[in-house]
Amino acid sequence: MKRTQSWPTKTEMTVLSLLMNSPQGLYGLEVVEQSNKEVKRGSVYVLLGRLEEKGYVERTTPKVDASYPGLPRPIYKITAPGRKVLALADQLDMKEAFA
Amino acid sequence: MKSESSSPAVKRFHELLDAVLKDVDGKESHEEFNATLDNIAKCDPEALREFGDEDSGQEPEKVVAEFKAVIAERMSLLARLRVAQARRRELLELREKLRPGRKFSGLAMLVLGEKRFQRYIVPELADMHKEYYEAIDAGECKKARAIVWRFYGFILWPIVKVLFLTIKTIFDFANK
Repeated sequence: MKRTQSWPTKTEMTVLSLLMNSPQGLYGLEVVEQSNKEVKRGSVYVLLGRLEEKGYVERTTPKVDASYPGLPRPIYKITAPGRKVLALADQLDMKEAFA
Repeated sequence: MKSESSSPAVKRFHELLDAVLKDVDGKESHEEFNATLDNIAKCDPEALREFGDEDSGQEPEKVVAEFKAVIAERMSLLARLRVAQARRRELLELREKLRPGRKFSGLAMLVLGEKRFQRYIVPELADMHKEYYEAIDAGECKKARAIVWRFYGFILWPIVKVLFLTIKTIFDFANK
């Protein structure tokens, strides 16, 4: 089933709010740190992946130093529809309603 | 590295050598340069005075000897640099080969498919690599190993849980 543009859940709203406050984007682990244990480490990428699927979040992979042997960590940024849905939720005061 | 006590002639020669060594293989250029110097000293000693310190009026033989010493010093530095570069390349290749989660990635990609693998596994792997290499660079081998195990725990625990629940459900259903 394709999830597109459906209303985000409460935890997804938290992630969107965090990303909204960081225009430069956040790493997955930064989302976990800043969410005050609301988002767990084991589920953060599932959440971000779901938000990406819905089109509220975009993922970019920065270039890393050639001498670094590991994979580059992706950075997550909020998209225009994500901003829109967050603004709408603020406007309607619906953030808490969608648990 | 240029010697601190080098004369103006040697300094000029360093500049000349820089240009010669820029794009060519060190050893060949070294021999070629020495041969050229010998020929000049033999056939046209006056030409060497061009590089000499005018005030000191150095002899051509002395100038050649000084230049050869400079060449030898530069060649030794170049050789050491090449060895260091080769060692670094080898180390990076080895690190690439020993990257944790490499075999697991192939299996996960096969099971989950490219899209899901990129979306859910790659970020976890990237986080694990970051912590793992930080621990390795700090010389904390036990911590690095623990980081890899924790990663496998994160990835495999939900699968184990689902399997356990499935088996439990089947068992309960069969007992009814």
